[in-house]
Amino acid sequence: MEYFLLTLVTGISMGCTFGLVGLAFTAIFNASRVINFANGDLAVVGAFAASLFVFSGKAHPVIGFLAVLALPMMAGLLINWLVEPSVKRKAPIINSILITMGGGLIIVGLIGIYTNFSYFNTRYVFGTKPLLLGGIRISPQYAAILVATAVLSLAYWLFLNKTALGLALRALGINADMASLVGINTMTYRMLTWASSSIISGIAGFLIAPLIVPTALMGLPVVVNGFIAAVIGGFGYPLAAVTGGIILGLLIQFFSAYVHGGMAQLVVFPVLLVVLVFRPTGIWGLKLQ
Amino acid sequence: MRKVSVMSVKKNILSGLLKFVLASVAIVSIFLFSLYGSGIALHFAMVGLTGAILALGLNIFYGYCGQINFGSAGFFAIGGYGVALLEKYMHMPYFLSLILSVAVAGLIALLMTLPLLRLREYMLALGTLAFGLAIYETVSKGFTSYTGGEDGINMSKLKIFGTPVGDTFFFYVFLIATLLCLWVSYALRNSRTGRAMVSISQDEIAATSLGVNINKYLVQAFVLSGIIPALAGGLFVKWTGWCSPEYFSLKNSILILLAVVVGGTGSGIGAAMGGVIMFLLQEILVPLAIYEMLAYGVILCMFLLFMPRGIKSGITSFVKWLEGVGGR
Repeated sequence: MEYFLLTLVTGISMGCTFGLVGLAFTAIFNASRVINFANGDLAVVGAFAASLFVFSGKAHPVIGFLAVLALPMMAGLLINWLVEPSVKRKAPIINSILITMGGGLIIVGLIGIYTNFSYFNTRYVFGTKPLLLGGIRISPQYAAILVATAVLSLAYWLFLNKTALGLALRALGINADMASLVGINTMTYRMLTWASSSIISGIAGFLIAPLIVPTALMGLPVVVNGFIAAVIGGFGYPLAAVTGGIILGLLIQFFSAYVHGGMAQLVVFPVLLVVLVFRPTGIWGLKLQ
Repeated sequence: MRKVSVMSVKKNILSGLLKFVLASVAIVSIFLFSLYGSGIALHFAMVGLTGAILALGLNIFYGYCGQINFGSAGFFAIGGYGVALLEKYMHMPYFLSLILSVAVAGLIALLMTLPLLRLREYMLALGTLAFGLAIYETVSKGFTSYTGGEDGINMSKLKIFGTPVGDTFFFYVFLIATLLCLWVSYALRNSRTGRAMVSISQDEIAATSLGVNINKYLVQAFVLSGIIPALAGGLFVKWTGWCSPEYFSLKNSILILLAVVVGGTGSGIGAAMGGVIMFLLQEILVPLAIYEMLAYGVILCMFLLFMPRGIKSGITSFVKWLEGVGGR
């Protein structure tokens, strides 16, 4: 029972980090119909900034945390700057996907040169003493992930659905030309979206860093799992990305705990194909229709 | 009656002569290279030709049909591991196992079209990415007792009639395979099928309204772009003598895609050039491995932003410019 609960909590927390990356995908997709394949690389930037400023303990925690927010944001704006021309001239979507990928490779390549592709330093900044929640012991890192995911996804949902700015962003995603006709400054709004989405990715990287051995190359599993989370949940819906992430995390953790440790990632792909074929709108997509 | 001017006849004869001379020079230099080329030069040539075959395979699906595919390395792996496993467990003669594993790759590609071709654009990107990663995870972590996991499978030296053959033989095999794939690309591009594929890449709805059966042509293109990388995989692992999962990682899928973008999407010779360039670049960058990712990122962005039609069209327009200068 103890083992089951531990697996459950781990699965949900890992799933929440995938969900955060899926949320970042959703944010950019909703505003500009671009799939940002560099999201995992932005998470690497978050983890890297954290290892430089937070985990090392050299900077004041507040300044360190601001750096964790600022560096991924700058990286995201760089990619936006690269991808903006092809969004503007409505190039085939393949081009913009490949450009985000290229931007991610540039950023990770630079970090890799700096760190020589070895591990970043990490530390459990929230302590290691388990919290007791109704008889379940939760590591503070997992608790932080859960809280951050809940806050960020709810805030994003509220922002998108309850504010004028969110309405403008949704309009931008549906038809950019129309949006610009009614006075929405498309370029500024896209920059805003990229900045906020990159911050979400960066926070995901910062939170996941102590749980895995982060290197500059950790972006790939993060981006693939985040994208799969968003697809399973239903592409385009912020809360769906998080539920998809939790399902994915539970799947991976339970498979590796009870069936086979090494093949956990492998079980994801058949599931993804089944979802893509039989319910391409995701498990939430059907409900929302 | 059409008038044929003396000038144009002269020009035709000249250009025919030029083509003949160029072809003979190429054949003679290839022959001399295979005889006297040092080991390292032959090694680079083979890596480059592998890249060319892989890029030609992807070009049919990505270049002609305009559909994204991140799973090329998966088919590359099926070819390589097919040959390796058939040799290890069935002790099959090499060329038979090559044909068999290429056929298996084609069959798997045909099966994968059932789920994958229901998807488009970014969903197709994710689906093919998942396929490539699933194959990579299977061979590197999944069934380690059969595939040897990260250690891979060692292969025996290829023998023809009992005598082991060296790099020169393989060089010719790679060359013939590359030319074959190039011929397939050209024949396809100039056929009804190829034109239908290009029409899909331009506008699916317009193509449908002209009576093009999109699904049929996409299935054909996907199967071809599964078979050709599998051929490359079967040749490559036998030549290196070691079937290792690291050849088939996602990095190679990206590299193949990069090769097509750099060479020129939708052009056979362009894709082949891109394949040679990118795989040689990868081989040269081995001692500078930490700069590799940065280099790929910069190349990808530069080409997509400033030369989205690749080197091929760059050269074509340069030649046109030269002709314009000469004609004045």
